[in-house]
Amino acid sequence: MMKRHLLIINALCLILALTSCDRRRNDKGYEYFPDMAHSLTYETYQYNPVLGNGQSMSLPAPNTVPMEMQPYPYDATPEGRELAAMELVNPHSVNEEALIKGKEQYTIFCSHCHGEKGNGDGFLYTSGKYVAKPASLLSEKMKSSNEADIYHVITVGYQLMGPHGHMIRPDERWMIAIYVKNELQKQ
Amino acid sequence: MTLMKINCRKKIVFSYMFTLISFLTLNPIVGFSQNGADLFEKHCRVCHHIGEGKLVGPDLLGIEERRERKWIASFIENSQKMIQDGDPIAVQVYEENNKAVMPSFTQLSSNEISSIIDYIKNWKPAEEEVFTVDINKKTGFKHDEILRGERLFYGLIRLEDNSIVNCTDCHNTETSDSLNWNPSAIDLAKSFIDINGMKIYESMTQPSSDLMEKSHNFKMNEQEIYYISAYLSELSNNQLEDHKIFPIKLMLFILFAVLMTLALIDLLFTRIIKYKIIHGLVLIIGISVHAWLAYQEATNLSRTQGYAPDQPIKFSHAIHAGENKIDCRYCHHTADYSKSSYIPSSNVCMNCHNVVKTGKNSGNFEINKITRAIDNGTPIQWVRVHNLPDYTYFSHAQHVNVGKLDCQVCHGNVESMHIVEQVNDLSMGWCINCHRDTEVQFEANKYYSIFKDMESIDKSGRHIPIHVDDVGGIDCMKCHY
Repeated sequence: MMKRHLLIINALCLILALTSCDRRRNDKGYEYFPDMAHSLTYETYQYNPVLGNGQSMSLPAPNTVPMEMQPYPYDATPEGRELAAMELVNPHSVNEEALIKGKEQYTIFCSHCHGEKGNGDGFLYTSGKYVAKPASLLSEKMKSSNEADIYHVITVGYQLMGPHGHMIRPDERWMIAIYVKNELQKQ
Repeated sequence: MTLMKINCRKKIVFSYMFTLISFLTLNPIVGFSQNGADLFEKHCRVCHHIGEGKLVGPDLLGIEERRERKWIASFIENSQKMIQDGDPIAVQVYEENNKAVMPSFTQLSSNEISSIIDYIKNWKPAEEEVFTVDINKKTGFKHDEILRGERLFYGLIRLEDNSIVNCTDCHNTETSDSLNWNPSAIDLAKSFIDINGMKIYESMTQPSSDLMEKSHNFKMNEQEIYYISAYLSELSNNQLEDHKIFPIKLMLFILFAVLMTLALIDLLFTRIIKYKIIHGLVLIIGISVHAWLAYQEATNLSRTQGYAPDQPIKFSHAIHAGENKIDCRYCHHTADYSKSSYIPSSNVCMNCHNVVKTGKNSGNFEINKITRAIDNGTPIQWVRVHNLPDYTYFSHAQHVNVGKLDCQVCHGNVESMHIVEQVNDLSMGWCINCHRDTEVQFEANKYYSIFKDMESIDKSGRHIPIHVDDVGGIDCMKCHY
């Protein structure tokens, strides 16, 4: 009698054990009552079977403008750059806060190519990973340009440098420009 | 003795002559042009093409016919100086190319510069080869071609050059615990079948990276490559198979189940072992091991700690964030003001990879996937690693911007991971513990400034910091609503 009980218990345990444990790294494991754990609506980066291109995060419909979007009318040509440098006005004033924010953003987005000091000796270049020499921000050409010029180049890119307008918000682009003009170039 | 001496001398003379001859003949031709090609690849390719049109700088095809050799050499050495000196052609070139500044190459010797010019001068477009088989065919292979390709791929038949190569030695067909930098067989097949994908004949005959050249030290003829491509087109429908793992926990469970059964049988019926303390010990240890396993498995339900899935591209955070010291927020740039931190789109990759075309570990195979995604207009489907259930609200902005936490607090040392792994269990207890222990940062932080006064209320004159739970950090509705 006892023996049979034990066998049943052990068999039950075995069945339990066989359905669990020892995951591969590709394996997510098991869930227990995943009520409301998974979103019924499609999440931002999720594959979307409804939309044609399969992306939940879509571009706005053609001929529409997203809310709060500021159109940027200058293109990535030398003429566009000159025009932007003439017409754009920096809405921010030079103060401590802007310089701190500018430095933080510069360190994140610019310093690995243009270097901590802005002389073009960023780590990616000095370590030999990126073979093209990034431009020095301390050259005569850059020193004679204004903040709007730097803002424009960050937004649409220049030569090998890709556009960073979609990565850095406008205010912070201005603050980077302020930091370059008022701190890096004055050292 | 004398014979040996003569032999020796003969050898010396012979080897001397050989080196002399090779110096005189091989070096100037092979060595020089090779050097020019390498130098061109290293210094010029980023901005110039030969015969493929304008890049940042002009196309250099037939530059010798257009300009004097001396002019080219001095322009390579220091173009800006020539422009400032008012050389009319230099100024004209500068104006024509959107005033793009060509960096100076004063570090190159005049010999090196002239070898670059020689290379450009002698460059010829690759001659069209005539093939007996259709090397560009991607689908519609016959069954026996596929079978033959499979045998070649698994190294079951000899190649024409009499070597036996098993492709699956490097190009795995199963998943693995560690990261295999070589493209898996399925990866190869997928990139082969793609319209803009790998041109198999080209990549097999002219390896694009040193890494590939080293491992592909055999020769395949076009017929064999054709068979391989037949098998690859078949393989592209498959998925990687799961690799076998040794189930340690399961074995432990069974072992103690058996031991406990034996102990009970012996205790009640057979009674071979005299000392009952042994039965007792086995039973106690067995039960605690089983309880421990059950506890582990029960808590791991719905949690994915240790999850480290294979991504569609073998992107290594250890190289990008660790070795190259790129800030996390360069790519994940919305972390400080958005609910989710940004998964970089392909054009963020292209900010660097328009220049960096070969990776340290994977050659150019993985980087080509990005260019292909852009050419095809298909997004890269990264696999999500860290995920909270839908009933828990989590915002990156709140934690990164207001909480001023480093990414590593929750995500672990991602900068040392080749494959991103979920380090923390992301359980509710883990969240709550952190909210109890973390002090609110008031410095340069307007968000919680009204709670600053709480900090100064202090009876014994001791500084009592404000923790996250003091400002409502463990209220239910903070995360569940």
